[in-house]
Amino acid sequence: MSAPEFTHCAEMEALLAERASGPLEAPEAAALARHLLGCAPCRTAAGHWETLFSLVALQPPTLKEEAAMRDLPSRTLLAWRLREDRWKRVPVLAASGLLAAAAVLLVVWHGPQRPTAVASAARVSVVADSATPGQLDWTDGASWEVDEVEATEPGADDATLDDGLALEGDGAFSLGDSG
Amino acid sequence: MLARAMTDRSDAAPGGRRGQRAWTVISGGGAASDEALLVDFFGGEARAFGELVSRHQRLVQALVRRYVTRPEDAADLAQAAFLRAFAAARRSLARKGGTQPGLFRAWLVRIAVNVGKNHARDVGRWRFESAEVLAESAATGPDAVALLERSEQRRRVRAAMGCLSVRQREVVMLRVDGGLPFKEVAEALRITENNAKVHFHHAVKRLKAAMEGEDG
Repeated sequence: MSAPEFTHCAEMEALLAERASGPLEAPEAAALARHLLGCAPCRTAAGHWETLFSLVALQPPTLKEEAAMRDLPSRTLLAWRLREDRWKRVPVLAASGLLAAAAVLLVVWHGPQRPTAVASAARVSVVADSATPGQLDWTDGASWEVDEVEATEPGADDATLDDGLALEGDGAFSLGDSG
Repeated sequence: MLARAMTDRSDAAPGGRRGQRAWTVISGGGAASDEALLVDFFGGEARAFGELVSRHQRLVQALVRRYVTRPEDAADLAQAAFLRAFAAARRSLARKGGTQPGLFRAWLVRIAVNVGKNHARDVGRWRFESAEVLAESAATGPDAVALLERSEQRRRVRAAMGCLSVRQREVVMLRVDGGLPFKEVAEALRITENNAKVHFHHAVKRLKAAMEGEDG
């Protein structure tokens, strides 16, 4: 097989390749069209460029592919709304998680230690009604302390939530990343 | 209100079958810009969302198809690309009060390519073969030699595609799969238009050599 001639008029080669691969700017397209009208070898070369890019291109979508794309707008909108609903629940879930984590930390931190006189007095005042003397329930005492932290330091939880949301927002998308 | 702002913009049709391809430039004189639709959508107009997705879904599909082997994956990747582009647009609107004209489309193209590349990396393969290749390999009779020759050319050209630099390959794919003008290719890849053309012609030189059966 003889090699296809991609070039006849050297100044047109770049435009021929560009035209075969995609759209040209209007002035370039017009200039090339005028040239091709009067230059048969360049018309042949244009055909070779078309062939080359047909080897690169994928086949048109199959019916199955088209069917899979048909409901994309509605499906994507539904996914967007689900995602939005999930984000609305994030502050509640995060606050619940923080409370649970704080409770666990307090149990771990104070559990094995002997209570101080002040803390003991506080706990005793809370659990005295339900506890038998000499059998104080430290789990109940720890829960009560968590409520105290939550009530007096609301700013700490807010800051943590803000950071978490900002991190997700910035991390979710970056045009600078090329994958 | 849908279609709050009226602008002129052009959308090139993404690539289809070679020989039947028409680089139709659709004048959008009566259509709202992407940016106006975004404002409408985030203002509560759900129809604007569907309009934007419908407007660009063929382009996104054309771009992500290169990276998948199953049709349903293309639809999933397209959906992921749209969701990320909408999230980015909302952040941009919240921070700057608006987006530049054409920026949403440029984001979408870039995100679609990145989503596709990530998927291909995870799956470990690209889609280079097609139904036509299978038909060629099964052909018999007088056309068999010509088809075999074309099949061999295709194999060489696609092997050459795999040897291009990432940037060269992206430029070629945005041209061939997405049917994008060089200006939009450059915007999506955040390079200059001239740089995009340089990458394109370097790539073309290697593809041409591959088609002619030369090493390279």
